[in-house]
Amino acid sequence: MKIKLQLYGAFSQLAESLEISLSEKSSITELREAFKQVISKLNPEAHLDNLIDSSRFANDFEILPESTKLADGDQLAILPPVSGG
Amino acid sequence: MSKIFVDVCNHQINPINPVELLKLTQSPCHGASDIFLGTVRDMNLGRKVKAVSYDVHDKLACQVFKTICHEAIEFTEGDINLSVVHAQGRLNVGESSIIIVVCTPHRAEAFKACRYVIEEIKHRAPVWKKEHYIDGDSKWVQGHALCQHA
Repeated sequence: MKIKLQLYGAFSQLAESLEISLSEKSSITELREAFKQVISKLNPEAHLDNLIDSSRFANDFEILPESTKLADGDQLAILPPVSGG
Repeated sequence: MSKIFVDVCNHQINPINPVELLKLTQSPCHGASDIFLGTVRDMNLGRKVKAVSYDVHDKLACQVFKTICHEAIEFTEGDINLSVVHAQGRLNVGESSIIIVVCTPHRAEAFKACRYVIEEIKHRAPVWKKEHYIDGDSKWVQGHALCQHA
């Protein structure tokens, strides 16, 4: 299945969004690992694993628990540590 | 009956307007209005800043602002209106990044709620700040990792 992931903060300098391929019944945990793989191929010099580990995934309404099961076509966002206000 | 207004504004098109937002938030029953206005500083951690860019997940940010405002309503006795607007885009030093307006019958509740809202926003809102320095460099500010529940 394919997930569209909107990138924010420090991730936004890599791309506006990315399409991530996952196997059926994948959760946020698998998405996180798949995203690391995509980023390391896109930009091998970036070394963003720590930032990815401290980020959360969300839809338009809430942050999603790691156990959330994903579906083909889901549109999510990755949210690095925040600095607003 | 309490009222909430939240928004994310494009700074280049529709910058934060404190006077308009105060008029929108006040009601005749309110004797106190507390305004928090965040503005871009010219220095951070020893580096001279010329501008800041704010990246915002605007739908989720508005959801988070509403949730935080509802939490403030829960602990406030009596009538309270709250408005929150965060800017997105590039802002120069002195320009306004966020405004919170809280109106209540008496001042103690306004101070408390306003403080609560800004502190929670800093830790929970999906907003990211990139500083642009006088020396030409730019850097995303190290932030607060989000908890699972926004």
